[in-house]
Amino acid sequence: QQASGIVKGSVKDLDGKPLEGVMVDATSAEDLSDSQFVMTDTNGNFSISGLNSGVEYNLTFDKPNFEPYYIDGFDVNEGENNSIMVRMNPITELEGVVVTALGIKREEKKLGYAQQTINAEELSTAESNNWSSGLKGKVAGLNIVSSGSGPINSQVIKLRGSNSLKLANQGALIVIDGVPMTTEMTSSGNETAYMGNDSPIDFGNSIADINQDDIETVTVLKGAAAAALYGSRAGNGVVIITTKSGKKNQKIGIEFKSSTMIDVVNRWPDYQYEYGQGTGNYFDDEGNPYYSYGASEDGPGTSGTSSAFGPKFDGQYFFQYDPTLQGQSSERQLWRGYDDNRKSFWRTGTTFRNEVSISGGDEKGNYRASIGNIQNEWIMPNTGFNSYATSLNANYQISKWIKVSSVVNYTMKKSDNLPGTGYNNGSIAYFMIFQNPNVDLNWYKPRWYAGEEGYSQIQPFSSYIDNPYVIAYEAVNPMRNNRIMGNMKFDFNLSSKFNLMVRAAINNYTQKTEQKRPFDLNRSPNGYYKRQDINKYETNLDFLLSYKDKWGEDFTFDGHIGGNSMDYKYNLLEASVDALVVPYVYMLSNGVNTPLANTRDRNKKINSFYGMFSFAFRNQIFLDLTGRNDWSSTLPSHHNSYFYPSVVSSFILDDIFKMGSSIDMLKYRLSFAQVGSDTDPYQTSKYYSNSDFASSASMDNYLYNGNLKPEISTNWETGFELRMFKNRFGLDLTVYQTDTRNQIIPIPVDITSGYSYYYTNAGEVRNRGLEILLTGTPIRTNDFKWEISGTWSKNESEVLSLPAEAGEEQVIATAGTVSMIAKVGGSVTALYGYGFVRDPEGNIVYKDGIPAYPEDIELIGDASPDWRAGLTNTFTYKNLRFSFNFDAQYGGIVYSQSYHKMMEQGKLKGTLMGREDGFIIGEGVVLNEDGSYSPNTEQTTIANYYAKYYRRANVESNSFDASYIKLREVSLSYDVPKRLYAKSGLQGLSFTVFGRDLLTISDFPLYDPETAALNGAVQVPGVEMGQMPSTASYGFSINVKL
Amino acid sequence: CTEGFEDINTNPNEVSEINPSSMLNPVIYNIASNNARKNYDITSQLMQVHFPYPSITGDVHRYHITVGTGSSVWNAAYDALGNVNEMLNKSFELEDENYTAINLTLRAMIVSNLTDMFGSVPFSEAFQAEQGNFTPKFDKQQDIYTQILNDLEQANHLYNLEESLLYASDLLYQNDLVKWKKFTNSLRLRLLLRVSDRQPDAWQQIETMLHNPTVYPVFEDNSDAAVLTVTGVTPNLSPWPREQDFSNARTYASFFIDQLNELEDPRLPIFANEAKDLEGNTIGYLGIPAGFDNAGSDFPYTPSGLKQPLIIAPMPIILMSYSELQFIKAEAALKGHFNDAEGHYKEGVKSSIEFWTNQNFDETYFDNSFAAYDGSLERIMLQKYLSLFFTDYQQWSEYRRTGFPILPVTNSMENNGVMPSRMLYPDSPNIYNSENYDQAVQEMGGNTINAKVWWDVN
Repeated sequence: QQASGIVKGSVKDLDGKPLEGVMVDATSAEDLSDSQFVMTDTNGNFSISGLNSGVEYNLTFDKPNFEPYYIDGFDVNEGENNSIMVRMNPITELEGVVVTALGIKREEKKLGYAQQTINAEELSTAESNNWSSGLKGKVAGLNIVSSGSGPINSQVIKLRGSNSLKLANQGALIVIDGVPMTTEMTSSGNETAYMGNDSPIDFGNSIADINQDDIETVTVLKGAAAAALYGSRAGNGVVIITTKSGKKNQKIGIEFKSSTMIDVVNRWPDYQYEYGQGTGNYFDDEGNPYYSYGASEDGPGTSGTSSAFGPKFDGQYFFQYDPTLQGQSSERQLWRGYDDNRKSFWRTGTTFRNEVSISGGDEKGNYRASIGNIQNEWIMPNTGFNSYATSLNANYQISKWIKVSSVVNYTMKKSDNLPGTGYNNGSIAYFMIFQNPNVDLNWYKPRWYAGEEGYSQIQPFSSYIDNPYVIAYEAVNPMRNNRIMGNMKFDFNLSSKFNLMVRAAINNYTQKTEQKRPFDLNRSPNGYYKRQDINKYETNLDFLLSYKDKWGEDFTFDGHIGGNSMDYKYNLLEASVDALVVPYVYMLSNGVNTPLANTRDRNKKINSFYGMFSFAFRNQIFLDLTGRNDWSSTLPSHHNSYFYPSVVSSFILDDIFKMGSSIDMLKYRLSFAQVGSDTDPYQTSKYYSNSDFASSASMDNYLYNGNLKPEISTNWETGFELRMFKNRFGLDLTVYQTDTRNQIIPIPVDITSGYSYYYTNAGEVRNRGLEILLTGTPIRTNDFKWEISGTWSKNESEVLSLPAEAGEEQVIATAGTVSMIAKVGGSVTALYGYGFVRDPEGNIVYKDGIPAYPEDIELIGDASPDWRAGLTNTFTYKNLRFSFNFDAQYGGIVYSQSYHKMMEQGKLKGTLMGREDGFIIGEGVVLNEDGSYSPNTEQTTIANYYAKYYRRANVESNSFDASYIKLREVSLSYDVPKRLYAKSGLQGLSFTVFGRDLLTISDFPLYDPETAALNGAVQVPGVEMGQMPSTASYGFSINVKL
Repeated sequence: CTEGFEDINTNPNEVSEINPSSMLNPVIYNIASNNARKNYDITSQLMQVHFPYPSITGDVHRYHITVGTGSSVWNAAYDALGNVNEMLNKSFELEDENYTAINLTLRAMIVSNLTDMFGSVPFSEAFQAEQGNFTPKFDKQQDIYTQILNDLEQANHLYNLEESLLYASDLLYQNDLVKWKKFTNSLRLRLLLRVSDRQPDAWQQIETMLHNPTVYPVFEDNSDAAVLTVTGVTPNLSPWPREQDFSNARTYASFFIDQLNELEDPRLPIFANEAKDLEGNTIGYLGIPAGFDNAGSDFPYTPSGLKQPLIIAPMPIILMSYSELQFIKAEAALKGHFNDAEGHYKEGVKSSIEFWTNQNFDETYFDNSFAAYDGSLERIMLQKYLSLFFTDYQQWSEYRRTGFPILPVTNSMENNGVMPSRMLYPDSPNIYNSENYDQAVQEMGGNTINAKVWWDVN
């Protein structure tokens, strides 16, 4: 019978400050079950009772961000005569700890690759409807592609540009609390932004479902080396989101956050309101242009055109549309413009967010629960969404052996109407283009002609232009989705050296969308109804066994071996009827036809094993080796297993070479990594396409390939990180090169072979880039601090090879008349189309008074910019914090379909030139018969000049430099000093006013140079195809802690 | 680590097995629908039926032909042929003779139109991508015709009328085998006539067929004709989803309207709207000249436009009409290979008018000297031209074969006012099958619109 002993003591840091929350563990060296653990209190004191005297215990002191401290073979005496004083080393003096691949927390110092961490404050003081907007301009090498398609506005987070010959799936992998999340968009079924049967609708992707207020940090792992352990899906980089959790030994805290934000349209095209509707070809007896709504005593009707080359607003009177008669006015009316006949359609958008969270913890566990609500009314009438999100994040140290944690997020988002986007009769963008200066928007407001409600919409000028209020209020696209994401994780503390993590995660997503179309729309003369049900289900089972050890004084070793099994099931059922029996009854049973139904299911499974082995020498030299093997169900059985390694190293040069005291850290990094990747399901054997005809099928246009191999991308990365002057200056510089080969792409083959495309491994693309991150604190006094952070990045892609049989080129996307074509030697985002014909001096060649048409398409520009930059300034004065952020892009082009159409139709001020004369002689030359050039002298009509100079196919005249500078964020926060409310029981109180996208400097003539065409579920950068107005946001938020 | 992968990677949305009729309805619909669109884009413009207006320069009616003009004909034909090929393989495999006959018939119809339009095209080596051949050689038109005429002969003998068709009802004949057999033979007559100038023994085959209607049954009235009825119920929809796309910016040619005016033809109000003067009053049927000079684009009236009901479902799309068969017989008789040219001429006119008007034919039509049979091929071909309204590319092929009807030429026409003899190959074979493409082009004397196809001896 042994007597009991108590071990007491205190734990302090190197400065002698008591450390709270240190786990102190005493385990018998002989009998592992003889073990106790406690946590230190606020004074750093602990007391372990229940130990056996005379037994030797191994003591472990553990606290996050500190190096573990071990006392082996501590001989416990009877009673309380055992006292220990421990000093623990912080893991780093410079940086905190960051979350890296697989959720492994590591010292930033040890990392041999570029990563950037953005915390909640930086991310969200200036709120937006999508948290990812908060990354703009703050992370070097990050770009967000978005079509600007409405309130939900799906975004693709792109890191280090494009290295793929496929436009889909170029986004970074999003990992939430260690669990990967797919971010694909689901197409509404309309795959083109240009004149499809219906307009694509952005129903959002998962990125938008993450509640901004739940995010603690966002860590961006840009390169393959950082991401190699995440496998295939991480080839485009990884964005790791850690959600907020409670803290140990924290009193129950309640936090309430409320914000109000308004959106106003911040830029308009330069509309002209000097000339009205007309082709420019109708003149009265005196030779003056006239207007007539329908034929009148003034002459034939001139109101059928959508062009605005008609008479000048000069105080004349013409027969016009009369909204009360819903036809020609009985008297001539004043010929005038309505300056606000586009702008007044839009309203001020509002977003209200409220969130309550409660968090707390004791010595063994902590929790945080939150519920939030967003109510959005978007700038387009009758559009917006509501969402509710709840989140629970809790963990508990069940025993010293086992810690269990769980995160559960539930989001419900619903909308009564999300706008259709793109250039199409039923899109609002189309109406904005086609609206004529002399047309009062109010004329459209009754929506339907009297007595023909529901059957004949008011469209006084052309049956191609749908009534904007019918579009907004009756051609609606409701959506409802539910997402539940949860994981449960066990951490087994097997010994002081071994840890085992086991985790199961579920991500389940259901979405119901509808498209309701009344009668008489241009694209649905007899109504239309479509419903789409999606159920997406992904499970991830993981384990990770970790081992750490120290060899002598100089070497430490970390090892991790893990496995993952990912099971992905995506079920989509769509059904539609394209003519309704009874108007306004939107049911599949109300169709003239039997509903057309389709499934678009996709199933996939990937199993993986991986390992990471990290070696450190004297905390000066770090070397990581990783390897991962994947088995993917999407590849043929003889090629479905693939392995890829990485080697990552970093050298703390200032320690190695004992540099001067002004240098806090100088680190050199060098890494090599490969990432293998699979493909979409069902490409390896033969199937027949579905046909809308009963009992029928069709040949697939894509030839399967039973011999597909995995794609491999190889990444080299090197860089420096420098910190000087007590961390007041920092520079992080990275260069990288990524070669992606064996890409699984459909290469075109001649249709006479029976197929149009052939899935194969082909092509190699090289991406090279440079990223710079500068941080500085120019001023730091007790009360005042000025911090600067700047980013600059450049990425260049080059196609190294493409199959000769496919002409060494690959069409990556088309949108309208623009093609994104990868050619060997060119970039993967090169935009091709027709340009002008030019003489050797570069003058535009004219023929018949209009610019000559070239025979072939040519390279017009690149959708990717030369470089991007961001600059954030933060000023803190006592409790006041003021921050603003600019970002910029230089170079790149955007083709604008809206600009083309508005120039062709005389809607912009740019078409005023020449109107007084009635003709234009184009500035350029003509090709003479002898092959020489002489100045063009042939005149042409105004309408013809603008129609041909800016014809749709002319990608050159309708493209613009996409460079911009934006004042992206401005925020001013005030933390009310505690003394002012000390007696009220409040723990914290702060106010923020903020603005977002307040200023845009750009040559782009539409709303926003940051745009993309939404082709179904694919965003095509560099192409504007019926853009929605862009907005500036202003908001106010209050944060109360109880 | 790969357990269950095969099940997981098995497509739950699409079938991997078909039967010999699985693609029949999509093929019939797609090819008919594309024919209708291309008749509008190509045949009607070249043959001065109707064309875009306003039309400042270029356009097909001015013989402005680009590599893009015929590309959708090419793509639609190969898409359809690929599907037919797949069904044919299946019907061979199952030794299903009736579906073999039907698929051979469809293949002959589609490929004949294709080669008539382009000349040499890939055929014998086409659709071998699965076997690894992505670059089929181009076959000469003569060889293609030899093959498909044999196929049609064979198909006629394969039909087993004792059996009924096993699979889903087809859009064209609702599984009526007798009608399919009549179509096989009627089509064969069309194709024999097409090659008759180049290959005179075709006449013997025509004679054999026409004199043995029990062995070679052909269309006997409008109800036998190969006409797709577009119901307007999804998926059997009008090729023009929006009717205004059919009629807007389009007008009839004077040539077509003038003939019908002269004939006082009851089809005219079915096809066209009345022209209007500048005050908006109707002034009868009036077209404008095809290939008009832009300088004369301001006509002092709004010419006759296209009647939207032509393409509002229910609507017919003609693959081969009974009327066409009558004109084939009339021509055979005129040339001494059959009898009663006048009777067949009249039956051809009558059946076409009845088809479009849905009313009993008024025999006084032939009292008009312009309508009466005059024993000339030109007269037969004029009525054949009118009856081939809205029928794929037949007007143009028949024009190339016979030179009728004689179409006016204007100064604004490109190609020196010479009717194109073929369409240009699209870019695709030039890029992806360049060796075979180059050889074919070389043999034809260039990828030009003036290279004549094999049967075109004029």
